[in-house]
Amino acid sequence: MNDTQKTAVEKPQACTTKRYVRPHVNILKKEDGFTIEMALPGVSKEDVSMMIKDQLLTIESVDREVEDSTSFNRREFNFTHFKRAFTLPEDIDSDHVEAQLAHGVLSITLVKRPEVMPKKINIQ
Amino acid sequence: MRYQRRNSTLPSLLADIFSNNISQMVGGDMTENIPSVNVSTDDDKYSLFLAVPGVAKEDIDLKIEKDQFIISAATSNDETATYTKREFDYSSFRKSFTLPEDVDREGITASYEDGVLRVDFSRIAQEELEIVKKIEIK
Repeated sequence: MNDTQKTAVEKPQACTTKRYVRPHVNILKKEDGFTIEMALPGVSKEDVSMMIKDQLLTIESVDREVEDSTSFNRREFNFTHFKRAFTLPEDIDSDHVEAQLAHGVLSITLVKRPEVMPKKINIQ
Repeated sequence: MRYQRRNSTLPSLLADIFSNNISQMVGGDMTENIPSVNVSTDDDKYSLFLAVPGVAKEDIDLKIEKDQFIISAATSNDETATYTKREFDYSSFRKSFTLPEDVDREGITASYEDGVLRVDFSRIAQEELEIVKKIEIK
């Protein structure tokens, strides 16, 4: 029914007192795994924390004091506090996860474990 | 889409429905493609912040038409990419804002950083605006 199941299953967030923004994501399917693109406009890489534990990938803002004296007449986005978590499929190699932040998009490349990838065998 | 799942109370079938994106259930397209905006006002300027993650500054077009400030982008998508989830796509948009009367059209500057476009609009001092108005009356 749902193709997303094969890539990453989102973990429902527990209710907390702090208000976290849930950033939008795109998930791209690749031959050897998949890529998660997360929209984080205005966020620098020092403000992003990424963690994998038991195949649970958590991406969240680094907790810090915010000195923001700007008063907005209109405020539609604010990524000071954000959090989103995904359960990765078992065949994803959690030791080889790469991420980069460019143009306000965090791209996380997840590859399958080498042993589950099809291997070409040459005939001697 | 915010949802809460209580595994212990919901039957597994229901839990499965709730764990899926609503767009996949209704078959609709829930991709966000209109950039969000923040606006702040200072004594000497207005600042507009447009969230355009994934859009390069070369692809953003800014122009003034009468009293409208128009921001747009039109880039082609990578057709070969296979998305299993698509929640944002700002590759093509058009957004317009009505310029306040006190904006100095020669004093508009724009910058781009980390997927945020910032446009600063210098404001003409109230006294100067009044002088202009007085001349118009004569």
